[in-house]
Amino acid sequence: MKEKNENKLDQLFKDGLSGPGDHFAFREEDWDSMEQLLDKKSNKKAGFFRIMYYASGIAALLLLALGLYFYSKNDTVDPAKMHGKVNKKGNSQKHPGSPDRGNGNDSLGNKTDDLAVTAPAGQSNTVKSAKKDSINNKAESMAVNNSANNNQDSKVKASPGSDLNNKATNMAVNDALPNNNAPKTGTINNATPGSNAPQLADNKTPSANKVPGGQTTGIDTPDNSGKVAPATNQVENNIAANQNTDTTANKKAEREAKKQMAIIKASAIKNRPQFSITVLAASDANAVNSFGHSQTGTNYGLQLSLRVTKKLTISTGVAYAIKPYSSTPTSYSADSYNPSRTPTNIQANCKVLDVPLNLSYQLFSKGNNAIGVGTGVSSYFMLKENYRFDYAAETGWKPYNLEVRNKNTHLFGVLNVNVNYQRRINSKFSAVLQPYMKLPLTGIGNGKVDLKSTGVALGINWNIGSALKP
Amino acid sequence: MGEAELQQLIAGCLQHSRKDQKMLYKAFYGFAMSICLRYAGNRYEASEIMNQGFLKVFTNLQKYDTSRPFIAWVGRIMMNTSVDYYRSNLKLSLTDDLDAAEDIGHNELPDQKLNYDDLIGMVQQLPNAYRTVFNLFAIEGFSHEEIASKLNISTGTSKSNLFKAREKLKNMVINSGRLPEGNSGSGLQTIVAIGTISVSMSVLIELIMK
Repeated sequence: MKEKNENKLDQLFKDGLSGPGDHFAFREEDWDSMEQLLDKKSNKKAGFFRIMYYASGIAALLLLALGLYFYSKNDTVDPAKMHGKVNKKGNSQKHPGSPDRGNGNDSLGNKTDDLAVTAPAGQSNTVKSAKKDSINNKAESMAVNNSANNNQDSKVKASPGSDLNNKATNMAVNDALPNNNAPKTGTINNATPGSNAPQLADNKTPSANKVPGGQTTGIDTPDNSGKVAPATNQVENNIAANQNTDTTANKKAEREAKKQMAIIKASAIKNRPQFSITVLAASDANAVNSFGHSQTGTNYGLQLSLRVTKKLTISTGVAYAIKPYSSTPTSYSADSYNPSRTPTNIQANCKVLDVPLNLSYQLFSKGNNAIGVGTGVSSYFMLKENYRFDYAAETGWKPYNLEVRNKNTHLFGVLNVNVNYQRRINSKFSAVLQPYMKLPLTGIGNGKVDLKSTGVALGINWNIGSALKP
Repeated sequence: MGEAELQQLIAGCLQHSRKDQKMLYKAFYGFAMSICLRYAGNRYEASEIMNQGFLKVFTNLQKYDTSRPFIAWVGRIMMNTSVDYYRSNLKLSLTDDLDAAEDIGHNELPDQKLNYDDLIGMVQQLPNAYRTVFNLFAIEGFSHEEIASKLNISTGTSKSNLFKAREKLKNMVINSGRLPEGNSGSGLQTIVAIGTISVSMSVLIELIMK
């Protein structure tokens, strides 16, 4: 069909273009991408998995190292703290029953409570229970004793309702009875620990007990118990009334003690490093230089957090981010490719593996809500970068697409700033709302652009608890 | 590169030696690039296609028939890779007067020598479909039937694309000739140079005669 030299134009191009290929000097970057192709061929998806593998490995190691560091630190501090707490616990536990020692009875608050409940069965029991009860109750019973003749039971029954009332009635009754001075001081001293001890001042209670113990309680207790015994023996109706107050007071004391134990436990746990996993999804605005022409990207991430102190949390993880953005040629520093052809616009879409290392500080925590601020650095592993270069219409050049895979990594190349709000759903889970900003410390991707991201992450945080239980 | 050296490199590449692969890549870089660049829209695409081609070379090296020239085998792979690269958007067809296609470029062309960069720049400005057909027809020497089967298009489309390609190229060549470019400038310089030399020669001869 076609004969040689038939077409001058064809010949012109054939001669001009099919010469020896010495117009092109070897370029190292072409070989770099060739090597990537060869590597990919040998293990196609290995690149991605290798990065994932390394990233998760680094994250796990970091967390483990930090966890161990802080744990060992806490361990050296803890024993003293824990010891103090145990002592405290012991005191607070024994406190309601402390007068028992005088009677040679080591039974705990619970037992006295039980006894008090079963008390109405027999007289001896009721006497015992009355003895075992807190000094407050003794004071009350004494008051009952003293006022028995006046039929003021109802008043006494009502009195435990408020501490002040209680005191007041006790005082009033004591004042009304000029028996001796010792019971008076005794009641005042005892009233304080008896009514308030389990609720507020644990530290003060034992000392308050001990200090006056030598001076007044020593005299007081036998005095009171001596009085209680005849009182209960004498007025059985009053005892029944007393038992009511006993049980309520005991229950109250017990409840307080339990609450306190829980607090102690909680604080003991708080001092151990706690791990939690957060699953996050975020939508963010990506832009180069300013957020004027931003585009929306998405992020999915898994974050592992380590709570080192009550306020400080260190977290790391991996997030897969899709970051589309557009850039001007001035922001995109092109390499040696076609420098003479300057595009009008560059449209990019990058798939990034983001490995953050953040430190957050809790600013505010009340009830189920907690607010904190955090900062840290992120490492970007650029998995896939797609760029489209658009040229001016008058040049007639069609847009050119460039794809770069697994070429660029930016270790600690991005600064993270975030605010996080957590709302507890239950003991294990809480919802997380985290507005954040990612500011590059280095040029990101193939074009070394100043790619900023800002957005809001939503997620669920699962508190695994202390993974390093002793 | 000597034949023995080439065989050694090929043997090394078969052993997946990265060093030998790079040597081979370097050795055929310019040749492969010159082919790919003709089919590609720009150098980015050309290097992408070329690397895909080299990947085929490395992975199919055991299939290479040693009795044939290696460079031709590489060239064919590069051409096929280029064609594959654009195959998806080659169906561009125009209903033009196909017979007129043969006439384009017969005449009206200025007698000038365009350099490689000018020519490659012109070819690259063609749409993919035109460029591919023009390359295969004008430079590789395939017939329209061969091109049609290669690209999975009709011979009509092949002819039409060649026609459009020639038309566009002709305009580019003519326009480049009209522009006061380096070519005409250098021609003027040679004329001036020859003129001065001849004048000085005659002056010299006159002096000698005296």
